Amino acid sequence: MNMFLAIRSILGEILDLDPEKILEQTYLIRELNAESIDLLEIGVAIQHRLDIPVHDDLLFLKNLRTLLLRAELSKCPPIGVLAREYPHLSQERLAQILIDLPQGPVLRVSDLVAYVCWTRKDQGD
Amino acid sequence: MLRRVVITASGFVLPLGYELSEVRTGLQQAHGPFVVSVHDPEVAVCPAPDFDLRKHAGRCKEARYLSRGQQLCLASAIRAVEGAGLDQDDLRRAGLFLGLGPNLEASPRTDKALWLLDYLPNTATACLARILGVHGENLTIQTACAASTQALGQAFHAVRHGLVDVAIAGGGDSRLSPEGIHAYKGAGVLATVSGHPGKACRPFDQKRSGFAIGEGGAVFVLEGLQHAQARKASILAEITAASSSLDGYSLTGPDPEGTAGRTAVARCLPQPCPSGLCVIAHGTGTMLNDAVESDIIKSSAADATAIAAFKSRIGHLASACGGAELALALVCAHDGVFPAIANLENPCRSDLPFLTRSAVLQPHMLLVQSFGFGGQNACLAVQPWY
Repeated sequence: MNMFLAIRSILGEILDLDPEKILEQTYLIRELNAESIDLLEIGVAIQHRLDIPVHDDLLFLKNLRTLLLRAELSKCPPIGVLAREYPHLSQERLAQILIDLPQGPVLRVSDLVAYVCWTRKDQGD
Repeated sequence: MLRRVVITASGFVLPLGYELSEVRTGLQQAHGPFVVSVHDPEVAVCPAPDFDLRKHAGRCKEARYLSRGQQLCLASAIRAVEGAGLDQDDLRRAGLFLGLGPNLEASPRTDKALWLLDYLPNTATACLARILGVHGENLTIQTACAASTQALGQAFHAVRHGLVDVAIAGGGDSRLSPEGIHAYKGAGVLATVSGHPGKACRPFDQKRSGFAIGEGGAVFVLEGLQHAQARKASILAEITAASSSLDGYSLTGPDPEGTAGRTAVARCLPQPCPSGLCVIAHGTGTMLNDAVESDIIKSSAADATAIAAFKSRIGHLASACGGAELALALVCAHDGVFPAIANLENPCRSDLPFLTRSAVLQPHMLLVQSFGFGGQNACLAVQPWY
């Protein structure tokens, strides 16, 4: 199963958007205007349709800013803290997130795809 | 000081169509556009053709929590507001009064986080407030088939007493789903279909056997007369009175004595009965409802010029019926022609002016009557603005 296409279909349906216009690099909140109740529905739909356990905090990077604040207070390298919390994201993506954060919510469609692929792999699929 | 209240816009999505021209053409036909239900060959239904909320609202992600009936209400409200020419400040302060039905297709689900919203009657109200930018006094009413009439009544009172300058009011409903049909069949209120589905519903006829199920929405913009005149709005009608009452008798059928229904009518009608009165009857076509309603009209509005029954042409729109029938009555009043009650061949009584054929008519007053399950009665007195 192509996970990007599966997630794009879910996003298109829940956000009432044309799936063709949703790309891997599209921002969920910044560009698709996803709100908190949309994220709730997206999380449940991914769990239900792709048959994987979903932790909303990880899937939607909900604690990102808190983690960075904690890293700053404990004087730890932020990328290391994020890598431990979000094992589904590559070092390259985490570095990109740190640069991108001042521009607004960083969550991209590719982050959801990465989460789903990592979780399925973890399940031994 | 109490204000005069006028209707300055009417938006509808009905089985006859969405545009004035479609409705006019539809009312000229011998029968409404009834078909046999795809879910049950014994049931006549009257669907709103090609309805798609996106045509009216654009993309609307909140629609995932809305029943088809609620979506029909949204579309009608958007059409009404588009036609009213209100500015953003008017809309921001406007009230919103909706009569809606239950979402019979709702169920607890594992694939939907907020399935609770499917059940809440004010979900549609909240969506509409966001779409229209309306933030004023509001009420979402679920009083069965009296709901939209009662919502209009509450909006009338809110404008009349100065709570709001502008109120958006009406309703939308659909019971064409398997669940809706199953519910009505269980209640034993549906017309028997034998042959042409357009002939199934025959209000006030001696051979009536029940109603056919329709769907649709109708929403109006109400405002104080001075407010409407100050912004040079075109005025469709004036609402002069609104009332409601409770039978306190049965959960389904009407009180055979019609006492509370008669009270609701009396509160709306000036005495003596005004000349040029046209009763927009509830006229479901069920044996008992029509008998009681006829008695009420005979005792309260015997001097009426005409009695119309639009359910014979669009089916029963459940909670939206009163609003939809008012919308059609206003079209007819301004055109000066009212259609016959379809399929009315042998009236149940000969001493009332049922429209057995179309009539050239410009009534001075419309009396909208809605008598719903639970003995919910609601009436409106409306004077078309010629």
